[in-house]
Amino acid sequence: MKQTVAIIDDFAVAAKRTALLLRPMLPEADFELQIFSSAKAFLESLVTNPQSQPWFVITDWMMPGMTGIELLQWLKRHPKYHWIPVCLLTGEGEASSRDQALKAGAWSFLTKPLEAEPLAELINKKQKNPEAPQEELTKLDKTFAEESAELIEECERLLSPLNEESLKELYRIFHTIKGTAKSLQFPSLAHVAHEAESLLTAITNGKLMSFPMSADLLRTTFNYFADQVEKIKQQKLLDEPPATLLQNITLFRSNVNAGWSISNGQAAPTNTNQAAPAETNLQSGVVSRSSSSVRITNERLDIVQGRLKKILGTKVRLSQFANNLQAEFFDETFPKDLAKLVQELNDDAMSIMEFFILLRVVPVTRIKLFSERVMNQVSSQLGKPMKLDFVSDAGLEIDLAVVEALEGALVHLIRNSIDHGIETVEERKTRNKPLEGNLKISIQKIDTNRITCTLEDDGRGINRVGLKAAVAKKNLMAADVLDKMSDAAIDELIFIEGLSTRTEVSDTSGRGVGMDAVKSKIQELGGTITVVSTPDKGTRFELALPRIFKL
Amino acid sequence: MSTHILVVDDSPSLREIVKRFLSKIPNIQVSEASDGAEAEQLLQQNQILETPVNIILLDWMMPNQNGHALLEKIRSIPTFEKHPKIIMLSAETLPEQIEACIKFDIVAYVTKPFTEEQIHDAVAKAMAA
Repeated sequence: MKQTVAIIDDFAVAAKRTALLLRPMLPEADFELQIFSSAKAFLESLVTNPQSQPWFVITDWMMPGMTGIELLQWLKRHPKYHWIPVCLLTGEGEASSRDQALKAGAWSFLTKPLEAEPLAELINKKQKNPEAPQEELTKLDKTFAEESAELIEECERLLSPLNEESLKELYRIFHTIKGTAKSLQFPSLAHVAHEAESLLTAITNGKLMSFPMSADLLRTTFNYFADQVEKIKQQKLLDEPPATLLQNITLFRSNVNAGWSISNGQAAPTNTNQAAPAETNLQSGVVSRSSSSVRITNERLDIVQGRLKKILGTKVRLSQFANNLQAEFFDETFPKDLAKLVQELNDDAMSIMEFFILLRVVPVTRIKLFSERVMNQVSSQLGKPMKLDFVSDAGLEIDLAVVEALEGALVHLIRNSIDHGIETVEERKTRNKPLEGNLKISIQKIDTNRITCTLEDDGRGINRVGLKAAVAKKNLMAADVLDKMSDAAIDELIFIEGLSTRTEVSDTSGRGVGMDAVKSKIQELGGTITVVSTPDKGTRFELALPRIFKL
Repeated sequence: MSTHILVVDDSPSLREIVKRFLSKIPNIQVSEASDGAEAEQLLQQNQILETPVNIILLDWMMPNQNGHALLEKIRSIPTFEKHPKIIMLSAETLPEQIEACIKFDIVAYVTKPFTEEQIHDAVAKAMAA
C-alpha cells in the first residue's frame, strides 16, 4: 500500500510548491501526496478514513479557521491520531512560536519559504525513525492507559494522610507519567503532569500537607487524569488541559513562593497533625469525580465575606469574655479550656480568611486587557489614534475588589486623558508630536501589601487657565485664593466635586462627575491618588492601593 | 558474542518503546527490570550465569531504589566498577542530575521523549566505549 504525505496550506500555490519539492524525494510508486486547503478539510478526510494515516503531515501555521498549531494540538489529544508526525511551517526566526509548538508535540519545523535541502533532511529523519504498525501503537497506548490507571488509583490512596513521604511518592508517580506521556506523544498529559509536579513541590516547600486546598487541588488533578486515562481506553478525544485547575495551581504556587504558609505566624493551627485526616475524609465525600471546578459569583463571595466578618467579630467578643473570666477565676480549669477553644476558633477563622483571600486574587494582566479595550473604544469614538504601553511586575496578583476599583478609576482616567489631554491629529502634527497619542500604564508592587498604578499621557497637560475659570465660575473657591495657588495645587483642583472644564457635555467625558468620584472610590479602599502635569508634555496620575483588601 | 542490554524503567509502556527501538539492532539480547532492586538482582544473576549485562538503559526516577541510588550501588561493587556502560533516561535534563551522573562514567544522557535514532546513537556510543 502507498504511504501518504498530507500537505495543508490555505495558499494553493504554496501547497503545490511543497508537493513539487517533495515529488523527486518520494517515488510516485510508493508515495501519494495529498493537498488540503484547510485543517478542517484534512481532518474530514482523516476521520472518514482512519485506517490510512499519513506518513507525516506538513502544515502551514497561519491559516484561517483552524491554525496549524490548533490542528497539532487536536491530533495530539486524540488517541487514534496522536502518533502522526506533524511538521509545522513557520515564518523565519519565530523562536517563541517554535517553543510553543515543541511543547505541543510538533515533530519538526520548516521555515518558509521552503527549500529542498531541509525537506530532504526531514525525510531522512522520518526514514530513520519509522513509526511502528498501527496495531502495535494502539497496544502501547492501552498499556500506558492501564499502568496510568493503576498509578492514579495509588495517588488517591496516598492522599490520606498527606505527609512528606506520600508527597515524595506522588511526585515520583507524576514524574513517571510525565516521562511516559512525553514518549507516547501525549504532550497535553505531559504538560498537566508537569504542573502536578510543581504543585507537589509547592505543597512540600510550604509544608501545607494539612491545608484543605492542597488535597483539593490534588484530587482535582487526579480526577482529570482518571478521566483522560478512561478516554484513552475508549479511544476518545482527550480533554484540553484544565485551564481553571492550572490557574489555581499557579496561584497556589505564587502564594507559597510569597512566603504564604499556614504553619507560619499566627495563622498556624495548633493541632495540625490531628486535624489532617479528618479534613481529607470530610472532603472526599463532597468533591465529585466529574466536576473538577465550579464557578462562584461575586455576590456569593460577598455573602461568605460578610458572614466571615461576623464570625471574626464574635470571636473578638468571645475572647474578651474569656479574658474577663480568666481574671475572675484565674485558678479554675474551665476558663483555661474556654481560652483554648477560643484560640482554636481563632486559628480556624484565620486560615479560612487566608483561603478566602486566595479565592479573590486575579492576575494583573486582566487590567491590561481592560485598559486596551477602553482605550480602543474611546480612541475610535474621538478619532484620536492611541497606543498603550502597559508595564507590570511579572506574576503580580491583586485582590478582585481592588482590581474592580482600579478598573472603575481607569475608565475615567483613560477617557479623560484621551478626551482632554491628547490633542487632535492636526494639532499634534503642528506641535511635532507623534501622531499617535501615547498612554503609559504601569502597575508595580511597593511591598507585599501595596501596589502603585501610574497612568501617563503625552498630551497637552492640564488646562490650568480653564480649570481656574471653571472653579471661579461655579463659585467653588474665592478668586483671590485661586490667584495665590501654585501650579501643583491648581492641578489638584480637577478632583473638586461637581466640576467640568468642558462647556458642552460630550459622550466620553465632561459631565462633571468622574475625577471626584474616582478619588473618593480610591480613598474608600484606603488608597491615594495624585496628579502631576506639565504643559505640552502630558499628565501623570499616581495611585497607591492595597494589594489585598483586608476583611 | 551478543551484547546484553538491560532496560530499567518503572513504566511498562516506556520499556515497550525502548525494546521496540532496540529490536532493530542486530546481535543483542534484551532484559528488563521495573525498578532498581530488580535490576540489581538481574545484574548479579547474569554475572554468575556468564551472560553479563554490557549496557544499562536506566530511568532516573523509580520506586524501590531510584536510578541514581542504583548507580551508586553498582559502581561501588568491584565487578561493576567500569562495566556495564550506562545510558541515563530522564523526563528532563536538569543540570544537577547531569552533574550527579558525571562521576559514574555515564556514556549518554537521553531526555524523554527520545527518538529511535537517539537510542541507536546512544547504544552505538556505549558499544564503542
